[in-house]
Parts: sequence; C-alpha cells; structure tokens
Amino acid sequence: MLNQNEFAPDTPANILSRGHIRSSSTSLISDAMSSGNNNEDELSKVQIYGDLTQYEEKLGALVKTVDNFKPDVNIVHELIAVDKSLYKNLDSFAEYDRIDSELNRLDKESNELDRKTKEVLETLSECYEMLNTLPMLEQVEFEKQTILKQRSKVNSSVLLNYATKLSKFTKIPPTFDKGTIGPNNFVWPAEDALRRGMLAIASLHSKEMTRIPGEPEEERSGAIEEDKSLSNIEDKAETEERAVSPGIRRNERRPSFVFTENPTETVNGDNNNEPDDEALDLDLDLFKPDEF
Amino acid sequence: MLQNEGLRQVHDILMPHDDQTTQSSEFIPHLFYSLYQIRKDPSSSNQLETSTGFIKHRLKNCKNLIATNEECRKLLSKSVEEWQQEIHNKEKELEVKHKMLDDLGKRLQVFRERK
Repeated sequence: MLNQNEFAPDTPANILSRGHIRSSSTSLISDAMSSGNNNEDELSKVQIYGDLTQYEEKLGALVKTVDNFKPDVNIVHELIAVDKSLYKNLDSFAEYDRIDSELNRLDKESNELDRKTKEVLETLSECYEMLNTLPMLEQVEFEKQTILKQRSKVNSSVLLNYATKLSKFTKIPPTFDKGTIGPNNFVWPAEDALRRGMLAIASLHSKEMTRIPGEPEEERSGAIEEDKSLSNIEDKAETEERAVSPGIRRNERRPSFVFTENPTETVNGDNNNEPDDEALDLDLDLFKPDEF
Repeated sequence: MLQNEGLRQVHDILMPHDDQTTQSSEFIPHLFYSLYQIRKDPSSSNQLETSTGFIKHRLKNCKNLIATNEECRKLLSKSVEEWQQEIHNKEKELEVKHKMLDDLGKRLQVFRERK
C-alpha cells in the first residue's frame, strides 16, 4: 500500500491521504531526510514542526499510561505546555504571512530593478558598439587632408585626358547624321576614330582654317596642290587599311565626312563614275556581329 | 485570512473554526472529556487511543504539509526577528540598486545635454 502511494503524484489530496495512512512520524522524517540534508536542517529550525512532534510523543505517552491504568499527571502538564507553545507559534503565522508578502514585494521590486538596469546596460552596450564602428574624427580629418593634398597635385596630362573624355559628350559629333542611320543601335565608326579623321583632314586645311578674314588668298593655289599631295598620302594609307581587311572592296568605303570645300576633290574622287544610289550606301563593313 | 497557501493550510488544520481570538486549541478540552469518560467508565479505557486518533491525524497532516512545502518550510525556518533583519537588508540592497540606476540616469542625462 505504501509502494502504491510512492508512485502517486504529489497533489495536496495525496499528501493528506499519505499522512493519514502513515502511522508514525518517523516515516515523515525519513521523507524529509531523503529530500536532502538541507531540508532536514530547515525542518529542525521550524519551531512549530518541533512542537507537533513533541505533541505526538506526549499524546502517545499519555495514551500509553492511561492504557496501563497509571496515568501520569506530569505528562499531562507537559502536553498542555506543548499545546500552548504550538498555538503560540500558530498565532505568529499572521506575522509570517506579512513577512512573506513583504518578501514577495521586495523580490518583485528587485527583479524589476534588475530588468531595468539590464535593459539600460544592454542599450548602452549597443550604443558603444555602434560608436566603435564609426571612424575616429582624427582619422577622418587625416584622410580628408590627404585627399585634398592629392587633389591639389593633379597632373596636367591626367587633366587633359579627362577633359578629352568629357569633350566626347559635350555635343553630338558633326559627322553623326541621324537621317542616314536606321536603328538606334546601329554601329558607326567609333567616336575617337571620327575625331581623329576630322583632325587629320583639318590639319590638311590648317592654313585655310587659321587664315585671318580679309587676308589675300595668295597662297591659295599652292594650298590646293598641297591638298592634292596630302590626298594621295591619305589614299595610300587607306589602301594599306584595305589590305588589313581583305574581302572588302575598296570602292565600298566612303568617307563619312568631307571637309574640303570642293566635294569633287574628295579622296574618293576616282570613283565618280559610280551611281549615286551606290554612293549613298552605308558603311556596312563596320557592322560587327560579335557585338550583338 | 492568510495569503500564503502553506501557512493557511496548516492553520486551518490546527484551527478549523476560524476563530482568531482563541489562543487555545480544541485538543485539550477533547482530551479532558475523554479522560473524564474513562474515569466515569474505567472499562472503556482503550477508547482514549481511538478518541485521540483525530488529533494525531491532524498533527501528522500538519507535519507533512510543512515537510513537503518548500516555501512554507523555508519561511518558518527563521524566526520573525531574523526575517525582519533579512527584510531590512533587502531594502538596503534595493536602495543601492535604486541609487545605481539613478546615477546611471544622471550620467546619461549629462551626455544628452552635452550633445
């Protein structure tokens, strides 16, 4: 029966029934011992528990003496004294209850304070980590000064290169004719190639371009001859270029820009006998299928 | 009415009638009456153990409750004076915690004003 009880859960009803089944207080003490020496120490300090044990002992002794027809008055007096002590301790339960409430209140307050302090410290820790991730003011100032020093020492060639790059976007190249090119992504000669060509042609007419308005054209005829000789040189260069890309007929190439005053004296002047519609052909040899 | 459940249970077992003013138990009058009955009729002397059975049962229940209720056991293991001292110490500890939190708040306020 005791074994069955040991497997029962520790509900208040079971505890009470167990107490009812067990007939001696030693079984309760053994339970207390099994739960550890700490519990035993605490129980030994509980005054009312000692009173209860003494009450049991004195009551048992009284019953025994009465059963033996030798009632002992001293035992009765001791029993009365234990009874007084027991109920005196029971009266202090109100004070213990107040203490218990006070302890609970203090514990609650303490936990609340701990929680607040923990929150504040955690926030401070997060702020500290965030501040640590920011660069130091001295470092920022140093880097700023270094950059400013580097900026103040810009090389003129770098500046010119950069200006050259920027100049590409300042306006649409004059050679770009929107009317002759179909799709927007149609390939035409590269910008730098166009500019180089323009510059090369312009260099042929440097005297004309740099001529002061109103100046007599005394060297005009000489300039034309010089132009023709330079046109021959350009033709030779073009012939070499055709040799690099075989399979393309020479007469398929057309200058995309004619800078001369006399269009009949262009570099392709020897192809004048070709039909006009063929002359309007686009430079399809510039098409590179790999780029699409 | 006691708030602590363990204390209330023990109290209710030893003092089933809720009479807080009475400082004596009902055990002694019951024992006196039983002894009176035995004196009146000596042949029924073995009835004392039977008649005191309910007293033993209640005492045992109380002991069991105190032994198994850790909170109650811990509470009753110290005297009222010891607990008062403990409460005093805890209040001092709380004061220190309050002060620490206030100091922390003041320092943060200084930082905020400096900003």
